[in-house]
Amino acid sequence: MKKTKKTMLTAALLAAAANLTACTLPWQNDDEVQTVYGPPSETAESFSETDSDSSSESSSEDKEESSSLAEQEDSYDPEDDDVQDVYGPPPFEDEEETEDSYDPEEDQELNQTVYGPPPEELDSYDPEEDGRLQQLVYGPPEMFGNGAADGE
Amino acid sequence: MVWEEKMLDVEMKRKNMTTLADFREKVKERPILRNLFLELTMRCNERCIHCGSSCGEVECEEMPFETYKRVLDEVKEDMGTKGIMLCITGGEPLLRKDLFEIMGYAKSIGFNWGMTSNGTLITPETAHKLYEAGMATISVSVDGLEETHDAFRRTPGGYRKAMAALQNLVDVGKFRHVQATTVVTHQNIGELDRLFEIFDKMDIDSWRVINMEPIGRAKAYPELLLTREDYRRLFEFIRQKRMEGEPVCYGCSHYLGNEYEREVRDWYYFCTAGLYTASITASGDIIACLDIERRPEFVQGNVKRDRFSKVWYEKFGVFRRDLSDLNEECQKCKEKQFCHGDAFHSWDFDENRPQVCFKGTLFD
Repeated sequence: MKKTKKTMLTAALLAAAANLTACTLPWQNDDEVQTVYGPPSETAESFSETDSDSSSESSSEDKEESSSLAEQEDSYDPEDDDVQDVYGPPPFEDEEETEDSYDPEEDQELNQTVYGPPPEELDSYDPEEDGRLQQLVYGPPEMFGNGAADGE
Repeated sequence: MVWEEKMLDVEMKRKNMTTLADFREKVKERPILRNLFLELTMRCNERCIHCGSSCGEVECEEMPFETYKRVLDEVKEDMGTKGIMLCITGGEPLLRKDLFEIMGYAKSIGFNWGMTSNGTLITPETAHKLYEAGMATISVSVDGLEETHDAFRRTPGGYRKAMAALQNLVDVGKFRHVQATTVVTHQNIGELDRLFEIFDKMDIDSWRVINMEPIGRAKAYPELLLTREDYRRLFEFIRQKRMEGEPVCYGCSHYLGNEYEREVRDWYYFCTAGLYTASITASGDIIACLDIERRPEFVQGNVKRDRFSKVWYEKFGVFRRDLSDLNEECQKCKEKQFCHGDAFHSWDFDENRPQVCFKGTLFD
């Protein structure tokens, strides 16, 4: 089965939570692991879109440069790991936006992905290229990304 | 090691689940169609013990291509195609010879689609035809090792065909996602490790592992339902595999509590029936989720006489509510803010109680 950027990240989060950071994990010598911790926390919101946007890219095309897993282990504390937020709230949510500011009436277009890209990005929308919509039957709810778009 | 030390931060999880619960409240007011299931047929060439729809035993008049064309045109006109995923299921969808015509048309007007299948009819040529018709994702059922699978699905040779199907799909090399799905029972739970070894050698994208649900034909086989120990074994298996970076996941059903939420799947529990998900049955009835018991009161309309979007926006009230409001025990439970009474498909509408609740099994 295919290990992807997303499965590697999940594994790292779960392993870290289980205090297994001192163990040698099977993929530690794999260059692809360098992308496990992804971009800094301030880009977490764009990361969730990037994760989906990269659905059509192979892992070899990923241009992210992250610290190696080994470097991150020594100071890693799940309490401080903003990456956890990537898989938390829906991508739309940022620090300044609260639930009170959401108004369903402001969602203008019925056919717009509510928590998707800004409207201007939809002008040239082509379903052929939107990896986020090609979802597994019984896959995750939309706001959690796309079961078929894991680092593909 | 105490389990609290092993898992992701509980506070983070509960914060995210609270956000999701708030989001769910908004979606109840303004539902967003994302998954439209099309049950193309109730015919099936297998007789799976666990079939939620009792397929193969129910006769149903199927709708012709022209009806599907009209319905798809209307959905596109009223709701667009962006963000809507067509989910093709049955029965066995490939028993419909016009599947490629229907779904090829859907793709031509902008819909993306995926499918579930038993794989018995997916030859190399069929796999290519599915790609040419625009199929993006597919999940093929493999419910155990060969002997178990064939017995469970009452199909001699079914396992070999399903495994061949997965390979044929992988060989096309162009699908967005090829997945195997295994329904776990008390009988086959001991085969998970061996199944993993088999799937691990294949170039599929993921393996979805789900429990047998007490619905449909499965109700006649209560001895196959998972015990409490089976459930913990199942979820520990999935979590361990995910810790190893393997693309194994649980399905969309059921609230799992602090320990296993977010750990055995990449999202938190969210029953999307009537909120994100609607279905059109083989006879044209508009319902929420095809796994939900086919009660007359759950039929919201029929595409032969009703416009789908009108039904979606004006009906479905019976699904846009919390089932926990119907049960006294659920109302008292501190987890109801996250589970809402759990999944619609496993709710007992006669007794008004959840048939599957992991309180006492996975959480207190």
